[in-house]
Amino acid sequence: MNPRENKTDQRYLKIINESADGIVIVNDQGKALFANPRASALLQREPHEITGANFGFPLFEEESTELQIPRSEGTLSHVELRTVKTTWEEQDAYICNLRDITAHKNTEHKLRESEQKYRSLYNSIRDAILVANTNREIIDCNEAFTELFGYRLTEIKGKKTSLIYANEEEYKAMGEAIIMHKGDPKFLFNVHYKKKSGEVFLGETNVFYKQDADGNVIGFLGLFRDITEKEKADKELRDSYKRIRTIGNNLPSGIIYRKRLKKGVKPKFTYISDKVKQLHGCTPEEAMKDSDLIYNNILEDDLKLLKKERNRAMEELTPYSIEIRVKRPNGDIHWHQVISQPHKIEDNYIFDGIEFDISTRKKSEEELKAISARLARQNEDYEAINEELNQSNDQLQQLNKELEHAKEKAEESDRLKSAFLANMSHEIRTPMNAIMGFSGLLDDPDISPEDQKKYVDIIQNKGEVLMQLINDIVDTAKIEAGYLTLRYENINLNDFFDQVYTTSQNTIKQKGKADGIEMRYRKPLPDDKVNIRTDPVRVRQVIDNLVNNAIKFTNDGYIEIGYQEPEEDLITMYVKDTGIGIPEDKQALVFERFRQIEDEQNPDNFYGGTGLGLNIASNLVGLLGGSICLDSVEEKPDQTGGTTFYLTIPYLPVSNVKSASVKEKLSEIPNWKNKTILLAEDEESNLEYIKEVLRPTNINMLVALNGKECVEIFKANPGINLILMDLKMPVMDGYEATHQIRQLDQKIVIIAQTAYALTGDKAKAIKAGCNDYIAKPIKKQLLVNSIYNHISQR
Amino acid sequence: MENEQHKSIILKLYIAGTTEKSQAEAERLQEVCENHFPGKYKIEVIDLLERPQLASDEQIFAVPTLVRDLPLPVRKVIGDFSNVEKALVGLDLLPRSH
Repeated sequence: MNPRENKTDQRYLKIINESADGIVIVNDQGKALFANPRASALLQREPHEITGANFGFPLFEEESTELQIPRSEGTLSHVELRTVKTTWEEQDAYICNLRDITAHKNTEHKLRESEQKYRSLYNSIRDAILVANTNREIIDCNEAFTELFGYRLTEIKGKKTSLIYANEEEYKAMGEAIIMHKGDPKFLFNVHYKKKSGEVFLGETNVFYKQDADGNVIGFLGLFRDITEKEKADKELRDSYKRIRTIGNNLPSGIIYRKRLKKGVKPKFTYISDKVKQLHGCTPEEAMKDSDLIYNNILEDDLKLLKKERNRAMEELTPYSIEIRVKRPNGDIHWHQVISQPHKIEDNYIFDGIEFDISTRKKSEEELKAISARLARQNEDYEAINEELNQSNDQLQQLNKELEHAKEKAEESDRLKSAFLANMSHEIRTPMNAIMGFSGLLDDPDISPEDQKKYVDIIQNKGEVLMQLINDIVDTAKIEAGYLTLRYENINLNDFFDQVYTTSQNTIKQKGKADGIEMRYRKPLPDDKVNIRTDPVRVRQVIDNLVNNAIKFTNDGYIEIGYQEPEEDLITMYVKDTGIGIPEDKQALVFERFRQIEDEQNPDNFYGGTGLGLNIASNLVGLLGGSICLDSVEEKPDQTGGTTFYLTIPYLPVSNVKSASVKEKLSEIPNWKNKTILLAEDEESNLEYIKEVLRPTNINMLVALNGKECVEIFKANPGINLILMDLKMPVMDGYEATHQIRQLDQKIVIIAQTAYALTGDKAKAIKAGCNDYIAKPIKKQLLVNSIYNHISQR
Repeated sequence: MENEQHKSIILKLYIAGTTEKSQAEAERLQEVCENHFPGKYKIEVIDLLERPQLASDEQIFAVPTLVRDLPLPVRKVIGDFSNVEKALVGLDLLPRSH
């Protein structure tokens, strides 16, 4: 090595040794070949400790890398390592340049910490913050901004701020305003912004200038708040105020107000609606300036009342409602109602209230009171009426029940009538067939006198049956119409029962039951003790009916007739049999019309009859002022049956009896030589029959062949005692003739006669003016008796 | 306990304090070794702030330093381990051709 080279080396070595950076030279195995003093200091090792040690092969790239060196005091030195490849003593070697960057590193760390602190503050602010440069390009935003607008910083960084504006105009205006206000944060801008979602909202914005260290404006920082809700609330408040004002002005004759009261201070109206002019004669402004303009109008007593109520309300903070009288500017007194409730704010009592004119209502109330009193009285009346109605209703219900019952009865009666008509058909046809049949046989000229007698007997017998039927119907009709009149006579009861006994025995014989039935007869009293007054015809009718029933329903045993000793004013007759009896459940029904016994086991076993007999009997007894009842045991295989009918009638004893018997009286022929009868009859055979019947009485007879003739003959012959009027005649019928004769003479006796013994005919005849009625075919005795009764009465 | 006798590669990574960076380097090293030498290696991470004495004992001048204890001879690399493969090449554990 020459001195010149050595000198150069020395120079380089000096530079290396005085270098501010540490220098370590390593070979390709990482072994340190050289270290300068600075490296020794940095690594905190003596140079000889480094040289020859395994320093480590430096992994290097084009750029530097950072290393840490642990210091003895426990801290770290930060070193920047740069590695350059070289040769050292003709071997590959690497120069490791170590620069101490510890101080720089610490500053950097502090800066980062500071930034971190501001960043977290920036992000924790609830207002949205957007930072832009002077070109209005976005630099930064905080988390609140992301939350409000929906944009993340990465999406919008570098873009124009116009993207958050809802419209171009406001974006431009904002740009001008920012410059005009020089970033003074006191100014607030209300701008419509658009979120990422497209939603537009009203934002309140402060804008600050961002300045560098020298005070140059380098950008803007905006603070945004969504004030949509606030704006809505403000608007609602404004609307609400407007509404209150509208309501106040719409009150027909009233005001609404707000009044502030403080103890010891005059009340002040802070709001009063327009109609105060109408109620108190002053404008709202005037009233708000001086509340006395209102209070002075209130009558003194009422003002006292108002103040009292107000004080109470203030103490209790409860509402009050009072009625006061107010004097209008024209002098009229009006009634006002004031309703208000106070609330307290610090020392002040705020009264929100309404006041309105109730004069009309007051007047109505007075009227209402009067009406109310009247109504109360009326109410009492109505209650009484209601009570009556309730009672009446009960009665109606009762009546309804009765009607219902009657209806059921009527329906039952209807049903029975139908059954009756069916029976009738049978009852009439049976004897009629016999009559027709045997009449035809009589027509045969070769018939023997014995047969002739037999046929005539049958015809007469059947005729009687028919007559009974017709009589029953007529009686029923008479009773129903109330035309049946009683004819009282004095009779001897023993005589009466003698006749019944005789007749009954005959009937038993006729029925062919003489072998089976014994007829008994009991007369407990002597003849002179049983003279009584009654209608013998009707009593006989009842007894005959009972006896005929007894015969009909008895096949063997006995039938007993008779009477019991009178008890007080009643006498009881009875008919007892040992017949089939009446089932217990049917006993109450036997007196009803059309009830007939039915053999349930054998419906064909028909006993015959009209179903009227007992009904007629019962009705007749009723007419006689008495009663009928029965006692019956139904015949069963193990017991003997039997029925007893008891007929009880008033007991009217008399001293003597003129006629011996009914039968005798009927058979006696009267002498009517001085009497004149007018016969109105168009049928010649009938006429002849009547003439024949009446001839023995020696009565004078005049004949009319129709109604017209009858009237004329009556006019021409004043001596006529009685007219026998056929109702069916040519030219003029009997009704019309009777009618015309009655116009001439009220007293003349007219007896109607017709072939149809129907209720309607009889009623019609009586209505036309007839005194009595005789059904065809006319029986001799009946006709004589009838004429006798009428003529004798005169 | 794993028997160290069976490990043909023993690596020691020297760091100063547990930082995110050192943690990431250690994990990356583990991952790459597992990839290339499954079951054959052992890695030891040594924090010089906790055991400063080892710095002089083991002649560690700066961190990070990665030491190959086995196979012998002992080799060291210092500097940037962001590329672990490169570090392993530097330790002659991976061929240089990479």
